[in-house]
Amino acid sequence: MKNVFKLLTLIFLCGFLATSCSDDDDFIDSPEIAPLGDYENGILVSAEGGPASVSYISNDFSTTENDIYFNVNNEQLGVYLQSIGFNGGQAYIVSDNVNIINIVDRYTFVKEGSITAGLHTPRYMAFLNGKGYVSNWGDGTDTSDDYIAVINLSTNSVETTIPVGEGPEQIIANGNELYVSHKGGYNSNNIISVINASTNAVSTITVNDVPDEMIVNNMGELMVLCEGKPAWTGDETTASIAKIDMSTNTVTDNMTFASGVHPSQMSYDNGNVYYQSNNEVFVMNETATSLPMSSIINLGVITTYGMAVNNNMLYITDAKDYASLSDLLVYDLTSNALVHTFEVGKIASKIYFN
Amino acid sequence: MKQVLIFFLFCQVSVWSQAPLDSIQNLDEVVLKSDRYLETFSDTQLTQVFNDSVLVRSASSLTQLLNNNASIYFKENGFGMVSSPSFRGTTAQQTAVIWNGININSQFNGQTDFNTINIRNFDNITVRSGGGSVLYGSGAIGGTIHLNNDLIFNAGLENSLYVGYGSFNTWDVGYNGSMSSENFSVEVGLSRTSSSNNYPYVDSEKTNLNGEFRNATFSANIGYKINDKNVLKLYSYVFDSERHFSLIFPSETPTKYQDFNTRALLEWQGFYGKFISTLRVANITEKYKYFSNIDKNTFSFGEATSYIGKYQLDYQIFKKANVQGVLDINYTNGEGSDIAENNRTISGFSLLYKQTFKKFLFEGSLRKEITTNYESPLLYSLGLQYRITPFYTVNINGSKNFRIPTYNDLFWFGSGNLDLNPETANQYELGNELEFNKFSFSVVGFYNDIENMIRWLPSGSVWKPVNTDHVISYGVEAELQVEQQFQSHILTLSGTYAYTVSENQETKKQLIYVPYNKATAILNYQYKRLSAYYQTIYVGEVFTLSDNNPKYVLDPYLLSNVGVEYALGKNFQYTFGAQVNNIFNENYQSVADRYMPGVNYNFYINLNF
Repeated sequence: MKNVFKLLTLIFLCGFLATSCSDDDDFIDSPEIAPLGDYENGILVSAEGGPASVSYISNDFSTTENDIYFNVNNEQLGVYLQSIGFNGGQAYIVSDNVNIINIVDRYTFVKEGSITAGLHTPRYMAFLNGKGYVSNWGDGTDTSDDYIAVINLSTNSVETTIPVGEGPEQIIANGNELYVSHKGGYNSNNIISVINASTNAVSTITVNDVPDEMIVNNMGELMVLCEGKPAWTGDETTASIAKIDMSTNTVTDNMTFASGVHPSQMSYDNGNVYYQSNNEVFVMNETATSLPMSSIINLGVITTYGMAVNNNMLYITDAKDYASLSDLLVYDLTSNALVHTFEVGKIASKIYFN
Repeated sequence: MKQVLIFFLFCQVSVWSQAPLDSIQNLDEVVLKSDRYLETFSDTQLTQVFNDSVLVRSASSLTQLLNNNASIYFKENGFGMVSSPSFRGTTAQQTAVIWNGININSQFNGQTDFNTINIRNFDNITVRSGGGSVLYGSGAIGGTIHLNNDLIFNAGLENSLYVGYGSFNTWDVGYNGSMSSENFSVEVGLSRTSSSNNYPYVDSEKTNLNGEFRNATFSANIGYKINDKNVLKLYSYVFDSERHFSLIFPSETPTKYQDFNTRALLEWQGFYGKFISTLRVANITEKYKYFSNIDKNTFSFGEATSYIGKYQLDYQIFKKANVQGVLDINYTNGEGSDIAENNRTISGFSLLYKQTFKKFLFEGSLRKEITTNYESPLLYSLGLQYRITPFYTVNINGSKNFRIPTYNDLFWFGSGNLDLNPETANQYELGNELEFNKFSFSVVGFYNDIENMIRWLPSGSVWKPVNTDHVISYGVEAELQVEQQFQSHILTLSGTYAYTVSENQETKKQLIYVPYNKATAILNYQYKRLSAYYQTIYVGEVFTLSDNNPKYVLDPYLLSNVGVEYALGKNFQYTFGAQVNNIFNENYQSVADRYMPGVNYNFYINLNF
């Protein structure tokens, strides 16, 4: 993500390189237009853009609609749509470059408000004890201005900020604590911040470099995918999946990847952990103490950009050349076969289940 | 007087020039051109020259001049912001900008931002369509844009002052002064443009935020005729600019961008019988700073210095046949926040030949570069002109051109790819020119096969540039000029039109931000001291996504500008003008979500004394 961001900046500065290459897929299902207003019982796919957008696909795959935020509210979301946080009946759409979180009814997508002040490159949002917590990079190049914004959900304003280390990325709530993976913004980092929601006190857990995706498994362990620093940094480090005991906040297991391997997505479904590396999808049981040797699915020559697993179905976004609409690929994990392809927004990155 | 005339003929005519002499009314004055290839090796290609009368009516940015008067498409990130061209359907790196004969495209991204060129300090600007890599180097694929300063001798003291003021607090001031004797010529230019650029968006409550910009240019050019056989010329140029980059959403973090460029060129030309010897030494520097947060003093930057040495020998074999050999060397040193200090040296050899034979004209040239940086192809250009009748000419031209990898492509931390090769383009064109006294029309069909195009692709966790894309662009370019006079009423019409297909050969899709159609036209009416004109620009639909999704396009737009001018003084040397731009308040964009100004006004005074 960081490199994509940097590159997008570069492309922006260069004007637009008018070159393209898209992988035409004959497998596109013909979409029907859903009646506006009901996005329950379906899949939401957010796309960074620009234009940033959210797509809806019904659970039975019969109905799809792109640009649902625009269709309902007749306004653009603002580049780049980083992520969506869900709280009760509401969805909080985080657009990082424009420093805005738009709040919609998660089922009708009607806009209910927005958070426009006090954010600086917001990335992800979590909820705890009736408050919102948003990770903020600040200036991507500044290592000392990163913070978690604490949101008053009735006024939609930032009530306080909690300074944290460089590049806070994903954030999840557990018990009375918030866990923040520090991918590192434009730089890199190797910590998980643990924030006590009562005192806002911050402690850190050191993991391998570039921690990004986090899940909480059935055993109550926090599993963190650390991507490792890539070779181009001149200081390549190994990736790992770390397990953290959330009662003691210590690393209990750290499964390292071979050097040169840098996995980038991780999901969890029904006791199984899925991750993607170099366009191959791997699965392991949450109790496993070593990484799987072989993959279950080879995604082929695509630009894997997002991944999620739900109800034994694997969802992958293919961002193609980053200059055309992405595809959402749906694999049945019983047969490991591609069963659906849907056209979604440009640079589709996140998949949520409504 | 006689000597001067001979000198003039020598410089201008014996070097294969086909240019008519009518540009010099007063034979006492002698004009030395800086970029002689435009006269001598561009006969079989379409050129469009913009001189004073057009420059005065244009806003000071090169983008505005060319968008209004040429068939080049510009992607402008909001008015005055980063602007990159698409010429004959090519990418921004495939148009070269040439300052007094020297290629000034950025070492970092390989292109010129057309909003960092202020036109006020140039005597004329020429658009040359089609390939020109043998003559002008990297990027001369779609075409080249030439910024020229002429040195004038025997003209005494001449001053020109331009002051313009327009909507959005836009100031545009330029001064050019020259002093010359028979053997000595000095020209000094100063210009400054600034704008609050806070225009309201059409059909919207919003305004252009954080779009202010300013730039200043200083230039000084000196010519000295040592004796009948030797001339020294010195050209220099300094450009300084700061732009705040406009926001799409008010809540974005405001940014700004600074450019600082210098150019210096020393030329020694000697005329020895059938030989003309030209030695050029040049120094070009470029520097940018990008502030990702306007309130902080942290920035990313790039800085490069180039030294160019070039020796050129012309030999007249027969009365109407000339051969020329060129040796050159180009050393560049550059670094940036994301680029470690690197240097590269490129040396090259070119051989050029030109002959006229009755109704035929032939020009042919070859170039080969030697560098450790990339594998250099043999570049060539072949052109044939046949004057079928005195007023009808057919041109055929074929050339191989290239765009070399940039510093970003080669040396970007973690991404730079040292195995890159140049993009290469094989180009063919057929031109027809009809030229009568008061009517001229030309139409050119072109075909351009561009291979090994460099694109940044994800490679594991990092993006790397690779030679991958194959694009074929083809189309038609046309130019028209008509003049009609009834007693004191003069009516002139000039226009351009381009139809361009530019297709990625893998996907069979049109490149993004390349319109199929673009046209410009200007109708001018002059009655004695008064002139009035109507200008229109049509830009067809462009795709913004590479899959040519019909939902993500920029709508076609038609802009109209009107203006009046009144001239005072014995020789009409004091001009007062007023313009209304975008009179129909068209809501248009040339880059998605970058809205351009609606109706706006401009007033100017141009005094020559």
